[in-house]
Amino acid sequence: MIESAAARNAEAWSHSGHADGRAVARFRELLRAWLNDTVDIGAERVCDIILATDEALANVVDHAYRDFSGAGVVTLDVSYTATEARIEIRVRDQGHWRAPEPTPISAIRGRGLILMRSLANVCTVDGSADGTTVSLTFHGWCQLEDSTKRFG
Amino acid sequence: MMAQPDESEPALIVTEEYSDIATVLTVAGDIDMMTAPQMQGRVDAVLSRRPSALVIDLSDVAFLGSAGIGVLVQVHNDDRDMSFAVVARGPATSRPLHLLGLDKLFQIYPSVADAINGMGLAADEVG
Repeated sequence: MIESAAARNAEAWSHSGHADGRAVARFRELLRAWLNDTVDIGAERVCDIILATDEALANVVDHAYRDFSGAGVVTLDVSYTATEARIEIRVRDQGHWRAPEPTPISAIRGRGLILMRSLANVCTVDGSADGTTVSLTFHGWCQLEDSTKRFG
Repeated sequence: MMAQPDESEPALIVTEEYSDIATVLTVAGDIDMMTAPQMQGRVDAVLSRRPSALVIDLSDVAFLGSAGIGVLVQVHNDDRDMSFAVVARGPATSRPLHLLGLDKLFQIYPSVADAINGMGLAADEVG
């Protein structure tokens, strides 16, 4: 119990798993619990981080291993720098990145990258022959809070 | 070894409510890449009955990912002569829909009552 509490309050952690929808849901809940336990950023920014991360994870499940015989591994790295109020998320795979098609507003699919870019302060995609890393940085959340809310 | 059935199979709770003025489809749970197909199936079943107005109520949705957002956009794209609105409030649902500019495709209301009023469907009262 103490061990797991300590792990959840750590400033950096990582999880890997078979790249499927179940792993995405599990990682999402781990992240939600960790954010709620560790970082005081308000419900809106928690939702932003969870959604952006989910989109990165779902993209791995949908696309990264399409050319491979079976699904590979997806890794979620999370780190938090309290002094800079900065959360860095990395979602890594060993598959192939696919550049998304331009998305008209009425398209059914293809909103993952748009969401990641609009939710994170910085979103980068680093694709190479042996895998892709999506990095999402969230910082300065006080400024991003709705201006009608009380400033904490 | 046989795989054990997973007792924690993720699923949405979807309920349909019909009235003379609108069909209200209420979804509860996390709408992600695994559960969006379940929502799509229920939406398709409702659409096959050709309601004149459909309200999808996401008030009890804790997570709405792009797979679920795609279901909503598809309803908009399919909507023939049907009035369509979404009930969403809060950072998990309303925020991503507005960030994506989808409030330009369909109306988003904070409550079912607001949706019924806003769609010009309000009669005597809404059940």
